[in-house]
Amino acid sequence: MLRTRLIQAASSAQRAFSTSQKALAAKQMTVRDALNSALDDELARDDRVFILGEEVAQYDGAYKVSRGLWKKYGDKRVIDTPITEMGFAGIAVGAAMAGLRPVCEFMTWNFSMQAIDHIINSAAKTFYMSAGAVNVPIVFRGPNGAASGVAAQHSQCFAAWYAHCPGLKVISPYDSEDARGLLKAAIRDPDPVVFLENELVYGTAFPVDDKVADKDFVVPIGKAKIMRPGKDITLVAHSKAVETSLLAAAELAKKGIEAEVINLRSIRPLDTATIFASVRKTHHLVTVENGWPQHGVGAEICARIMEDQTFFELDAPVWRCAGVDVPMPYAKTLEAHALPRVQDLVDAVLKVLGGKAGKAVAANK
Amino acid sequence: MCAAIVHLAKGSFWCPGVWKSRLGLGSMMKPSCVRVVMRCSGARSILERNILCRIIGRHKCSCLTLENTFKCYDLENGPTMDVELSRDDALAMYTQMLEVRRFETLAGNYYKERKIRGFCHLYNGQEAVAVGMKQRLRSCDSVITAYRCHAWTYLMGVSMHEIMGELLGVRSGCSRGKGGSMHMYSDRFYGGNGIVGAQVPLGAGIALAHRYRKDNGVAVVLYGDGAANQGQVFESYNMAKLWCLPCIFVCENNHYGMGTHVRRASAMSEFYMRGQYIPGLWVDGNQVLAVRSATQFAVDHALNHGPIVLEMSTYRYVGHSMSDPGTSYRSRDEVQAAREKSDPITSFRSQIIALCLADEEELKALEDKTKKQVDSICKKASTDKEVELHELHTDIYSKNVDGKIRNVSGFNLEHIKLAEVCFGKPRRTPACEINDVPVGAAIDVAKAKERKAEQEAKKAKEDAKGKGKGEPKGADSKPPKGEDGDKKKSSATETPAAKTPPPTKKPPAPKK
Repeated sequence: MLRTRLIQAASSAQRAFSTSQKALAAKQMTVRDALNSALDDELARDDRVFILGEEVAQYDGAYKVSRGLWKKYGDKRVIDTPITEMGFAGIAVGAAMAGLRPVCEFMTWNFSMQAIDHIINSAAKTFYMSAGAVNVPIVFRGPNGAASGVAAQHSQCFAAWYAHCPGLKVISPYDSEDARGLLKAAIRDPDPVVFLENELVYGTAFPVDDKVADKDFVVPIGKAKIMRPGKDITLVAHSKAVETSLLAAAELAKKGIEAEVINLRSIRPLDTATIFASVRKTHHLVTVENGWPQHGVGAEICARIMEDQTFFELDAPVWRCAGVDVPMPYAKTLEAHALPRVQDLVDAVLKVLGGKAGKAVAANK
Repeated sequence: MCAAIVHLAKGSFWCPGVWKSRLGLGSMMKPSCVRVVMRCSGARSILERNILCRIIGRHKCSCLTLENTFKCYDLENGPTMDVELSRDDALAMYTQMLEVRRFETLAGNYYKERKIRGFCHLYNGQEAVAVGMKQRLRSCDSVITAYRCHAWTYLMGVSMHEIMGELLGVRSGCSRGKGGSMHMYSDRFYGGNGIVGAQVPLGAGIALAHRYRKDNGVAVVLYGDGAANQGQVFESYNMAKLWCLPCIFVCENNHYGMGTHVRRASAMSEFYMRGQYIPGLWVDGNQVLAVRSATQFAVDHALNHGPIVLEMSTYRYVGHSMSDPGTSYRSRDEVQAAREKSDPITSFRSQIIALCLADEEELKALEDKTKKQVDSICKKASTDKEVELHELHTDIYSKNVDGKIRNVSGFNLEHIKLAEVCFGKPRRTPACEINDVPVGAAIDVAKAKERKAEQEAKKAKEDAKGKGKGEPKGADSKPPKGEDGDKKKSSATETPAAKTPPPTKKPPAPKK
């Protein structure tokens, strides 16, 4: 409850600062509804699109993301599969090779490890190996990362794993606008797309523009969004960590530090242009993710900024805030401490800003 | 019409000369069509099948009986026992088998000369399976196989020049040197897959696409005895049966999974029964006529009754791949015996002669001609230039939204897209038949293009009306909505007629 309020406060702060929205947001849309409506639109628009996965049809979706779609489109377009990830992921890839446009749901991305051979070897690499003869217009989607109390085997974040592979596009939306626009873009994309949702935001309602409801509203893949402009430090995050970053930015604002929060939206391709432009403005960077630190998204951003002229714009090293490098524990307190919290981000920012933090505070008073 | 009834004892053939002289036939008379009879042995199957061979007597056509060709599992009726074989078909199949054999031999030679690198899995000894099956597949059917794929690639329409080019890594290769031995594709041929068993669910997915589109096609999914134990194969069986997919699972049992004999790898080596709830058919994979007959049966079954599992019992003379001599796990005598007793090419040759479809000289001439042809094609391919360096960063994505591709150091490689053009001709595959939808900023560009196309169509219509011809056909058949700035409307009606094919659309004609 408190969390929802905090998010709404953060979003309204976003609205107040955002330069991209002209009209006031007319309505609220949950991420679940955003995904559902995106699937509905795309199923209606293109005959070749179909959904398959466990419990997507008659159960209305394990997380109710595909609610109502089986009733509307029937057995041919919304297919319940047995619990055989390797098999049905392979079938989905084969159908995509043959010209259909499947949306393959993994109940959670943890189960994708059973099918990872098909995602990488059968889907991602085929266009290249066939010298452009066979493309695989498939979307793999499902909830990724930590949920609540589901422990180690059900809480892993796969952003870094899939973003490692050329041939894939990896998307990690945060709010409803992201979810709807990016899922539509992913389904329309002729390449294999890994769509990493987050279970914890499914039920969260975000204010959306009217244009989001348009049947052809798409968010371009590979472009990050500045959720909250700022001038003192840049926070780059994806998925749930965007929420943490926005909350941390609100906290920092009280201290007189204006943090710019970037919602990556796409992990592969990574929108380094937006990140670098922001760093040129703020000269400080902290990356935030819920996944493990080693070889993670933050590590990639650090490496890229070092390889670019923007490195010389930095006044301090880039810092990563990531999930603790342990398998996810079950107990509530342990779990809470295994992921970056608002206080962790605030501390990291203050550390990166160093003495400047005090100066910024003084300047803003 | 030449006339002869030949009863053949098991494993032997009449010497053509003997019966010709008996019946006073000249060697010039060749029948255009003969009948071949298959005999099914019922041993070890769920349903005991003991069909007597039929003797074709009416016109005294030449007739041949093949022994031990089929075993049925959970099938009421097996393949047709009576088949006809025309001279043209016989010579076509024989030629194809010769070409495949010669090509694989040359590939082996080039590999030893180090012109071909990496993996090279050869099909010597298994030709009858591919050739026999392809005879009864239609242009709307799809095929997917594993890495021992050169023969299939050739039969599915890729020229030998392109296949050899691909093996050699030259620019004229069918995958432009990017794929290699295991990754060759064609219209309705999905490779060439390197991961053992992965092609099986892919193939079931292709069958799902056939069923989805109702285009009357079947998917033929080949795998070996080594792959037959993979879990994903059984997952595919389950879903294929559940959803009644038009899928023909074909286990090419050459009795060795790399260096492991079937009896050491499989607790149950009756692979045609492994489908359990899916009917199965064991076929003598060294008899091209048996394979052909079984395929006809399987296609009918898949279209009308759902999936079926075929097991083609065959043998490979070479090792698993070029790095395997093939003698450490089996004796040379065994290989030699297989060559002598059940070689698909020599046995079919004898059958052709026995059936009076061609004579010795003609076949010899055909063999020489084929050998010369294949040799010259492969020689020419070996003189082509290697694929160019810029292809390293070509066609990673069908639609690249990234900026540049990262090089060894730094992001300075442009993503090049060559996919539309291949050897000067646009390459067509099922996946790119229908235009992809632009994303993001490209939407505006696409809309502008559309409006322009609309205007041109309107203009053409008016011209045609002026000439009294009537309305021109075309993809831009939607009524022009006018140039109103209402973005929503024009984007929503983005030529649905062109983009979305009706489910009953006819399958496209094959590429070449």
